[in-house]
Amino acid sequence: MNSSIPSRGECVIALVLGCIVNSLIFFYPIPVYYFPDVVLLLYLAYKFRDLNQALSPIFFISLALLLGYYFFSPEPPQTEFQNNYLVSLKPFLYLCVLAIYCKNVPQLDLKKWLRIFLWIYPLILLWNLFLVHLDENASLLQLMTRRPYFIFENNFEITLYLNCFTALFFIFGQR
Amino acid sequence: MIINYQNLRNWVLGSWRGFLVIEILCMGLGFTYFFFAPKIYEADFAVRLPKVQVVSEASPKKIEWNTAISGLDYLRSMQNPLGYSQEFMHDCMGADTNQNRKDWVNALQIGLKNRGDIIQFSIRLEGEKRVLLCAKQFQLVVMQDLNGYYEGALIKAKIENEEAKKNLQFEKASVVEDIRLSDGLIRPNLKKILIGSILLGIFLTIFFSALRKKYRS
Repeated sequence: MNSSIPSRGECVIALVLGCIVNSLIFFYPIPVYYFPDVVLLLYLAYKFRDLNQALSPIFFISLALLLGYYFFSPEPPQTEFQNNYLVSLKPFLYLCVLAIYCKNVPQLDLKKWLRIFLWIYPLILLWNLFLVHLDENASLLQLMTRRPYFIFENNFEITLYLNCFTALFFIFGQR
Repeated sequence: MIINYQNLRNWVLGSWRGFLVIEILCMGLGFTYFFFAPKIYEADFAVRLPKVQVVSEASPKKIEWNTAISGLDYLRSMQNPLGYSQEFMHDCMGADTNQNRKDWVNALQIGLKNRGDIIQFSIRLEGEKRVLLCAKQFQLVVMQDLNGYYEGALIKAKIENEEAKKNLQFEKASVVEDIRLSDGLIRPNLKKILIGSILLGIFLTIFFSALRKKYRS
């Protein structure tokens, strides 16, 4: 049996886990936008012991860009809000991480997880709508105007879903 | 340069005393800068550009509002050090020198607001009274300038006077937000200074240990 094709049991377990995570986030407002960075930080801390590679110049270039933009971007007038979000600088940070950790990428069979995600994601969205129906006693017409989500806002997740589809279909060639 | 756990561990164990000393020195430097930085005050004001109505070229029955001068063009002209009068430089910067003119332009921060028809000026200079005086003078200069563009637009409209253009309206430049002083001293950003001094300490430690390795071997 091809190991990249998930069994029915694995799919059901993933679906149940996804629904539990979705319900937790739905009922308890957790700051979900820190999730990816926390996962990344945990991975970096875990793999720090295995670090062993030449430091590429990309690291220094992205570090210089990161620090340059952080320290030399102009301060706004006192009548305007200070922008404390570093979202626009994150790519440079990620480039630095890639330059140090590129020999320590996670050894994970992506095909299987992509397949599972493609299968269960629409079901999780339906589950999210069901939760809205339970919570707000919303009718079908009201549910039609909702934008269901799994963890984040809909916009980010659709991009991920499409990317998963593209990777599976075009890169791994599983049609 | 090979980076691995063992190298990093050896380096940290070997140079943590130097690291601490350099870090304390850098933090001291940062705090010195924070407390002895020049006493900068800020004044902000915003001005609406003069507006003119024009007959649309695409459909002659349609009338559109335009600014008499584009905000970006005006903003660019304000960044020319030679674009200010001698009296203004005397009143605001003390003396009319080339360096003072450049300092004045550097003290200005200009931005467009709304749909590009409001210009916001933010002036940062030493001394509370001085920045207020400069802002008042500068506001007069800006209003004179903009109303000059307004008169120009009026004259142009009179020259091109046709039946369709008789009922066109014009709007003078106006002050949208009056001069507003900062609540107090504008101190440098403490968070950035602290992060900067910590990073400087790390980089200096790396640099000095590299120097030591190079010259001791």
